[in-house]
Amino acid sequence: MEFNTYKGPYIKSPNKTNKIMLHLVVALLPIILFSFYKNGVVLYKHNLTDTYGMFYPLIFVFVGTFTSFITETIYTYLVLKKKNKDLINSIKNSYSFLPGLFVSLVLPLNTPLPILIIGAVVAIIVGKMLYGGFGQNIFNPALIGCLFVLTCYGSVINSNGGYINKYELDTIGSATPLTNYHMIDGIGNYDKVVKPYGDLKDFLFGMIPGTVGETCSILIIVAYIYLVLKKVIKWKIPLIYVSTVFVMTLIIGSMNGEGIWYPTFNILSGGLLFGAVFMATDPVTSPTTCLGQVIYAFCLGILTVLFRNYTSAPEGVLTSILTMNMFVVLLDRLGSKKKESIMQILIPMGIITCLLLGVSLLVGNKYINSDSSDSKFKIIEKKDNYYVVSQVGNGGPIKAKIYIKDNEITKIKIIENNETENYYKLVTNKNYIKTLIDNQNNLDKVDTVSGATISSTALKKMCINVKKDMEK
Amino acid sequence: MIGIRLKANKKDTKYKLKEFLNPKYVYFKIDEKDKLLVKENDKVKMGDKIIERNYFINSSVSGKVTKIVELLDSKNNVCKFLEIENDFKENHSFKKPIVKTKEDFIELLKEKGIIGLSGNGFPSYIKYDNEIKTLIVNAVECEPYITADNVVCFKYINKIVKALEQIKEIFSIEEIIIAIKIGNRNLLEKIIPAINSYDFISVVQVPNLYPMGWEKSLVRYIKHTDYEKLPTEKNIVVSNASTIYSISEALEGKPLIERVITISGESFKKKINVKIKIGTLFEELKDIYKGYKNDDVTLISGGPMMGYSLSKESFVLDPSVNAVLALKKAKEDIATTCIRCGKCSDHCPAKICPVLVKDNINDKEELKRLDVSRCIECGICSFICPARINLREYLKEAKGKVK
Repeated sequence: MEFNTYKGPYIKSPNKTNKIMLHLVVALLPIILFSFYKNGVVLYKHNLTDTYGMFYPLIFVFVGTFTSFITETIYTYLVLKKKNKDLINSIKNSYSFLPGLFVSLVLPLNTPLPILIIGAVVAIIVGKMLYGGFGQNIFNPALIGCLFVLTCYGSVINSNGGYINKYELDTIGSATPLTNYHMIDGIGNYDKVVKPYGDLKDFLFGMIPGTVGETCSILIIVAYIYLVLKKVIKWKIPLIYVSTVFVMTLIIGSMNGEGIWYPTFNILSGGLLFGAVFMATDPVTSPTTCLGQVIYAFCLGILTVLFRNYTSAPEGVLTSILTMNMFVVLLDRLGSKKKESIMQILIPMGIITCLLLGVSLLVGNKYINSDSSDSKFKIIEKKDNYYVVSQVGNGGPIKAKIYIKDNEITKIKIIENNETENYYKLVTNKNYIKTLIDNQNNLDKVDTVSGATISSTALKKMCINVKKDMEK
Repeated sequence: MIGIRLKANKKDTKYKLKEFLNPKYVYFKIDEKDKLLVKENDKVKMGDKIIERNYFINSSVSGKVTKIVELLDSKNNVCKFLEIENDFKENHSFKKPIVKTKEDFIELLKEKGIIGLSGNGFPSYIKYDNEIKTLIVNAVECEPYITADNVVCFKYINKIVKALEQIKEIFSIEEIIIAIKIGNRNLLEKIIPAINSYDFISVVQVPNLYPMGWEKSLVRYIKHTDYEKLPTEKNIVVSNASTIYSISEALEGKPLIERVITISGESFKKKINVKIKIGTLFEELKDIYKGYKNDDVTLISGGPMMGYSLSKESFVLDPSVNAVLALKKAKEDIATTCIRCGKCSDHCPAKICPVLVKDNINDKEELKRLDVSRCIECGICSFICPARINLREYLKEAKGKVK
């Protein structure tokens, strides 16, 4: 009797790549369904949308997923010239639907479908196929697609409603928590940062504005536990990443006399949890060595805190992950070094700790030093009956001439602005300037114009700052 | 503790032992450097020295040296073998030796051809030619299916303990530890009364992980210490239970001419442990395993993790074979793209990063930096890889390159 021979081991773990991907999709399902509930069912229940609108979140996710699948199939067929069996095999083993699925989850639901499609196509072609396809890419493809869309079409998305669905427009009526936080000078306080959205419980259960997939923290945490139990993701990365952000914001918060709500808010808002669990752990673009993963996660946390507080964008997760993606090869080299002495671990960890504390102190100090004066505000000319001032808005400084009489603002004339036309129209259309003048003694209570939050806030602040100056 | 949990599959053969001690022919591998001590048509007795290496190989039957033939060895390579025809008279030349000193003992191990019976066949005299403070008897058998050490320990514990006592006297060893797998209650109940009166022998139960039976894992778990190349650096010797049993027989005068192997795996009609003469052709055991249950069979010498698949049944059972398995042929898995999940690096007991070895397989300097020579070829990386990449082959290649 002849037997087949091949190289062992002759038993194999049942956990194949396709099972790993299946678990990933299973973990994402509740998150997608939640978005369907929050952005579809709730709206339908309040008669804010029709049946199509109710199912729109599902359609949105499907379009993203399907686009990336089709794009890769066409690319494989036309550019890589794979036919028949080769084509089927390559489609089967490359999980091309995933980047598009993630793109649709990290974009707001108000992204017009054509833009979503562009995002998914960019994710597949630029983020994945140009590097040589599945397993070869350096950057997370979904985040590449998302970054492209947000940079090129961010204003289009914003003018289409931004991150807020129709129900939230009625109930909350302003920007996402992080945008709101970003616009507050200094660290803000619980009433300003969290209160407008309810309380931290709403953050946990996801009834806050945000992208399609990122809002429901509790489901993301459940997904994390599921994925760790099923041994799908590198469990250290999300844990260390989120803990780092928590510890740093705890330091920053307590330096400014804020309580535990501040770090909790930082963790539960924006794309941090979603990014940590699903994007930072993307196997292809994260380190494989233990030490590499630990350093990678620490750096992600530090960068996120830095980006959130020091750049013009409110969100820092996307850029942090893409930045750290560049260093994966380096980190793996570090992590695979022969462990000759404990110093090899202690030195990088020491550097990390210094960075962590340094950045925390830096950010914390920034807020302590930022007294009531607003760095975005400038008085250009000051006369008895008018001020010429500028305040940084969405596209740059807004210049205005503000007429005063008896310590009261009588007229506001915008001299110059670089705001997007759509935003500006929104501001002028709603008679916002008149509202500001009418309520000038109670400006904190004036609502911003939704859809043009930043522009309207800038105008409001301009008035507040002028008032302050007059009181001096 | 680094390792993985594997389905044990040991129930079918546990504590079952049969004998097959009358093969028609036995075969002994001849390496290039070996010195043949017999000629064709020489008559030999059981236990006569027939080949000299650094130690001696003894004939396992009495009979006549017939010829040199080419046959498959247990790693599926064609090699030269010395054939001895059995005359079934079982004439032997055993003489009980007098072993008093360490030198006597080393000489005995050489004379009786004692080698490690757990798989790699490392000559025992090298291990014992050191100052020894701790002796660990390895009865862990972390590979699935195999129960040979277990059954030897179970049936011959008294003989083993007697040998251990003698070894202790010779080397003035401080402690002897018998390592068995946790939860192996029957064996534990058998061992405890046997060692009761010896305060220097103890039993340790180790976790049910693969590769817990690897020397380094055992030493790390039991003695909480690490060594570079060999445990003797820390005055520790790890010997497999079957090896200790063959030493106990050597102390009685009988060389290494028999051993126990496990015949198991879901495709064999009969699964059992068999005591065989070393050098028997596996084919001759047909009456014991009684054929196969199904057609597509993978025949393996050794365990499923570290064994080798064989193309024919007519291969020689050399002393390092501890099991022959017949497994249902697995559906062919084509390796897919590496997704860099890092599972291979996470689970590697030698702390190598197989995925990086694969990436840098053509870069000799990088391979040296990755320290591939530490690899023990346990096969966990290949087992765990979700893309079904046979990483162990990359590591073997890398090891060859940096040598």
